[in-house]
Amino acid sequence: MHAMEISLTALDVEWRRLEVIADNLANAGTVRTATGGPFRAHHLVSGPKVDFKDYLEGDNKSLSIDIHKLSGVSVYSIEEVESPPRKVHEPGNPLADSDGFVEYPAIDHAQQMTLMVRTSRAYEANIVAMNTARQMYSKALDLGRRS
Amino acid sequence: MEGSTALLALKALDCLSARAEVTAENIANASTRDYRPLRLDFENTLKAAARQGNDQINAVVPEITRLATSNPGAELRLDLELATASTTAMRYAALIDVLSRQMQLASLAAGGNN
Repeated sequence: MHAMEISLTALDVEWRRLEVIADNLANAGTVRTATGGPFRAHHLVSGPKVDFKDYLEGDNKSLSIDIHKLSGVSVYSIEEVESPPRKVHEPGNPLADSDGFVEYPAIDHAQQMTLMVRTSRAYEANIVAMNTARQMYSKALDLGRRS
Repeated sequence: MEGSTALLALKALDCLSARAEVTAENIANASTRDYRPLRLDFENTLKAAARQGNDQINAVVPEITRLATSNPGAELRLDLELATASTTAMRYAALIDVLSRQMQLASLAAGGNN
């Protein structure tokens, strides 16, 4: 896989991570979803893309790594964050239970914002890496142009 | 002699482009937990091969190793990886220049100055 393709896989992953964060923040006040209950925050889990065949052959432990096996990153899963909902006393709210409590999603805003900044940094770094690789390719195309 | 210089430059270009790939992989894994960055080494092998001859230069394969980290949970140093990426690109450009000049000389020798 070429350097630019590898960076591209990472851009895709970071973009999707950003989408999950945006979804979490947008739904910070959603007390009812289609399945009932408050909205649950999601967390995107990513990691190196591993070829299933290589995984089966158990080649991960060998010391030397084949350059052709580098294939960037991929999204493993989008997990629900297990955390009890935040209970707020709002007797006037039509969605309140018999004791007057409304269950709000437990979204840690500070954590989401930190993750957002880190995601955007990672995205930028991959853009820079991609540009560097592009420079290399275009330099290679210069070879023999002036001779 | 001239042939081996070109060969050496070509091999170094190959290895540098492989290093760019490895660095891209490291940067791509910026948010992977407990990721151990990869390193690519070829300079010493290539140097030793250059003393021995063309066949040895041809046989050089860049060596990729996974860095052992002493403290798990350490963040990947994105800045260092980006520095490696840009150094690699500069060296690549310099080598392309060397090859380019050599080709210019060759074409001058072949066609004369007209």
